[in-house]
Amino acid sequence: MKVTVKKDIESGTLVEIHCKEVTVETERLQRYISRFDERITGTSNGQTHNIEISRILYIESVDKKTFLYTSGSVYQADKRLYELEELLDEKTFFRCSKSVIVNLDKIKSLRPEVTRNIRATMENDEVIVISRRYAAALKKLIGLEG
Amino acid sequence: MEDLKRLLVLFRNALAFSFAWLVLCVALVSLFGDGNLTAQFLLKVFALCAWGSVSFVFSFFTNFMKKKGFIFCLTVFFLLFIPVEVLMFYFMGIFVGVGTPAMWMLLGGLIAISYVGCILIDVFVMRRRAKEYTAKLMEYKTHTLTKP
Repeated sequence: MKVTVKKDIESGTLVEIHCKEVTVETERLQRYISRFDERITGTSNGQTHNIEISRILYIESVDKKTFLYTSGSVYQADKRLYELEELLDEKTFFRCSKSVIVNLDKIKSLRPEVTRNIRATMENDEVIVISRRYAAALKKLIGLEG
Repeated sequence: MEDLKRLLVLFRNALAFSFAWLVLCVALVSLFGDGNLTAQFLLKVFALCAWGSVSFVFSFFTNFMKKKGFIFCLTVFFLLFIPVEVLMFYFMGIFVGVGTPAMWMLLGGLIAISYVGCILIDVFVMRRRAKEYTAKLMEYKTHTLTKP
């Protein structure tokens, strides 16, 4: 893959992908670039923040409120969990229970349990439980089955 | 609030299930035994089931405990329930009679075997699988997430 940078527009950044045909790799590259600097709005202590998606460890819905967890901070999102699920990249953010979406990129280790749940230890050592209902989907996604 | 409701439902289900089974067992034993079944005895059975259900729901279904892992949950459940179970069995007069030491040993043995079995599965099967799962996740992260 050849990468070139040209300084020929007035403001902002424009990325174009040139290819012979659109493959899975090309689509993945497009998705990666378009979500490179994507942010979600969240409030904490009355202040509104634009949180980089890549900083989010997991998203949890509690009593119809949605919370975004980064290492060290918790923000309340203005969107519902299912709305965020649609917005986020399904290859990075995985629905791991009825009320939690986890960022797979921030998982440090996985530990299956006798109960068929999977315990995921995050980068900040917090533990997220992937319920057995969603464990099969995760195994398929990371290539453990099928 | 939602969580408390879910826990109460689980408690109700566990209590209904365990009490129904124990009442059936007690009724069968009494049918083929001396034929005595008192309300006081059934109340003790109910109290045992209620404590068992509380311990079970607390140990395996609360968010705090779920994050601790199965062996930890099982240990907490055993610590909460077994002393009360032994005491209740004693007060209920279940292990009174000629076969008492053997029956106590049978109870202890069953508990110990199931506990040791779980620990062995955890050590020899789950730890190996954990390494496999983590390796696969890292592979996935390298190929799908980090690099476009």
